Amino acid sequence: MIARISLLLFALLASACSTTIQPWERGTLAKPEMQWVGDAQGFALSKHVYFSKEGSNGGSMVVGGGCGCN
Amino acid sequence: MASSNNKNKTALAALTASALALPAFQAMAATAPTEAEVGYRYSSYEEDDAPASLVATGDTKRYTIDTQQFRLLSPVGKNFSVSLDILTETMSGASPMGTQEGSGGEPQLVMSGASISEDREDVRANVTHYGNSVATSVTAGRSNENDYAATYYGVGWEWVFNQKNSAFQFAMSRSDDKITPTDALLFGRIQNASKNTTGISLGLSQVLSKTKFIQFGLELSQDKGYLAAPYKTDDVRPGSRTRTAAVMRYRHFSPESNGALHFDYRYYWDDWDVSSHTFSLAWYKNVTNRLQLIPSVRYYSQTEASFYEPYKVVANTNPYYSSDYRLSPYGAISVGLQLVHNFKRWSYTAKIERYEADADYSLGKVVVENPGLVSFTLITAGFNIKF
Amino acid sequence: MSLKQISHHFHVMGGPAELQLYLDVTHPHQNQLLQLAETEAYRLEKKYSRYRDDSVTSAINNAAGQPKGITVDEETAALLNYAQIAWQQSNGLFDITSGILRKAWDFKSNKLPDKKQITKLLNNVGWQKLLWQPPMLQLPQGMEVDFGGVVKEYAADAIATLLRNQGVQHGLVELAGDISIIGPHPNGNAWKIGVRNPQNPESAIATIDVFDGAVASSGNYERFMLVNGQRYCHILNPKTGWPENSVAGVSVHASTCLVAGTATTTAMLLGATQGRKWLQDGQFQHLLLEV
Repeated sequence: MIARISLLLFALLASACSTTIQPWERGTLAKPEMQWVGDAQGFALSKHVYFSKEGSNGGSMVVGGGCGCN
Repeated sequence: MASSNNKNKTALAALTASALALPAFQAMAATAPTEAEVGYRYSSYEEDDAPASLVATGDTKRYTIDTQQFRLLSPVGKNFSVSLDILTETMSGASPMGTQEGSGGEPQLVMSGASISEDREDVRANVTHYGNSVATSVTAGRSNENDYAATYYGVGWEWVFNQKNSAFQFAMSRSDDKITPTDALLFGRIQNASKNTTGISLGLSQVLSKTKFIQFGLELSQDKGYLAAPYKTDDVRPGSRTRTAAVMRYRHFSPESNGALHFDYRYYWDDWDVSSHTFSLAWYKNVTNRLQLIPSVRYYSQTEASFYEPYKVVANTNPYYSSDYRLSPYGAISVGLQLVHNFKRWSYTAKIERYEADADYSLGKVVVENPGLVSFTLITAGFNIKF
Repeated sequence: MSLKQISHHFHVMGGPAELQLYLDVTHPHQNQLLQLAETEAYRLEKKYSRYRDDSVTSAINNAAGQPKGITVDEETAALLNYAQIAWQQSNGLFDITSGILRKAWDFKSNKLPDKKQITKLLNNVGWQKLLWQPPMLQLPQGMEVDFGGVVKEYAADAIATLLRNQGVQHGLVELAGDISIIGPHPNGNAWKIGVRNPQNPESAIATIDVFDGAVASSGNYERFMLVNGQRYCHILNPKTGWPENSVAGVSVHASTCLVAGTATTTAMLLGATQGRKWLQDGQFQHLLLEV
């Protein structure tokens, strides 16, 4: 799995150099609804709920701490 | 003299390529916010009652949690921003303490009494520096309950390159947790214990076109120390857990329908043999200049931990055992609808989410469903104001 | 988000500047945003003005003749690299060393220059005569560089990029007729850019629809003198020392104002027939009016 992901990342990096969106074409990408996390507070709460009620954790790229949630 | 290379290009292409090397067109990492912002959210989280037929003893009323969140974000100078997030919540209700075999061989819940009521506070501060092509962010925080305290900190970098079309992210985090269960002597619980979590994450994001971008990430983390649930009876778990999460996030704006599609996928696995798939899909639809509607769906499915059993069997030779529903095999579906309304400096939001976990939703076949699977409704309302 | 259109005027690099922006009405730091844009324009003016003793241009020109040359900063190096490519692509017509010819041409005098003086000055004109080994530039004694042909256009692009980085999505930056677009109108409509009528520069002869990129214009109406009924414009050929007067006006649309400006200057110097061919071969979107 890790090998496959590294391969994918490598392929992406290689393709990265072929796509360039120029500064004047960036308007759409900068829209608030295009951000990785739209609403910081809502995201933090959802992450906490899923973390405390499910068996999986990680992947949000956001720093956080544990809790004694049962 | 004109090189042959330049001769092959059109004058337009050659000049444009050269112009783009100028600093004004160079990569800039995410820019510092220019406005201060205050945010407030109130959320009501309510779990469905445990079905009476599945409860052997104890209260059937499960958790309700009232949460308040305060957020302050402010630019400091041209290149820094600071944020402070405070969360307070009050929990009440009963939670599953364990399972036992019912008369028909089915697992039944042993619930705690209804008297649990406690508070949690979480305070987190972040400082971010926005450099020319690198943004650096430092976060520290503390979460406090009467029987659990976590101190956490982390540092992250984002490096933007390829004329801002690509970005590389790297982050490290650590959490030190102290567990001091109440009534430990009375019920023979562990009196105090500790655990820590260390994690690193890597990410690569790439602009695909004027309207699309994608991110791949990998997060590795390890929990060490006391990883069992102190209030559960007969819960014995290994002293370490190594987790890996691989994520893919995709954003696509459609100018025709004036909306943005968010698609996130995560594959998770750990050395307790739990693995899971998570798919989330959200549609950020701009209804008017001021009104945005965001319907969303999320699907989750996990496998069971190697030492999970629906209830304790006498002949079990495994030194570890848990009947925690979070280590059981199941799937979950949630649907949500959020509304955001902007008016002058104000932004108001309201959201409702319905989450249901069920063994039938699992991708794999589940022989025995854990009776403790949770279903909940989460309602949030709040506002943000910019200064 | 509700937007309102604002227009902000100031004066920089010897000419009028205008920002036309759609800003979030709730944006409380509107003035800071405009300040930021002005500051960037003044920074570039100060850095590259040939009238200032403390400018990079003066430092470079004062170092002419020194065997060790002068080491320049990153931004200046990028501008010099660009100047080199522009010189190559224009077959030597776009030349930042040609400014020295001003010593012979006085457009206020309405008198033609002395041909001998031009010949003498031409000895000190020509990009090929200087040694450019980034970041080191060595100018022979008597030569000068002038960033006048690139800095105004670069500044328009730099301000547009800066505002875009601050979250402005709709608007344009205009520095004395050279325009860099931040983004189309909020409803997606193009900006209508007027092309000056060379016979009557205060009126438009045509309008072009522009969604993005930049538009630069040049014409014989800008700075010129009439001698015996013949119009002499200020864009001088670095090889002959004289202007080419067959183009009345030219506008070019390109991704950046810098590139568009280089194209208009080159077309002016090539003259109507060759200039049109060069623009077509180079795949520039253009509008060229002959005299």
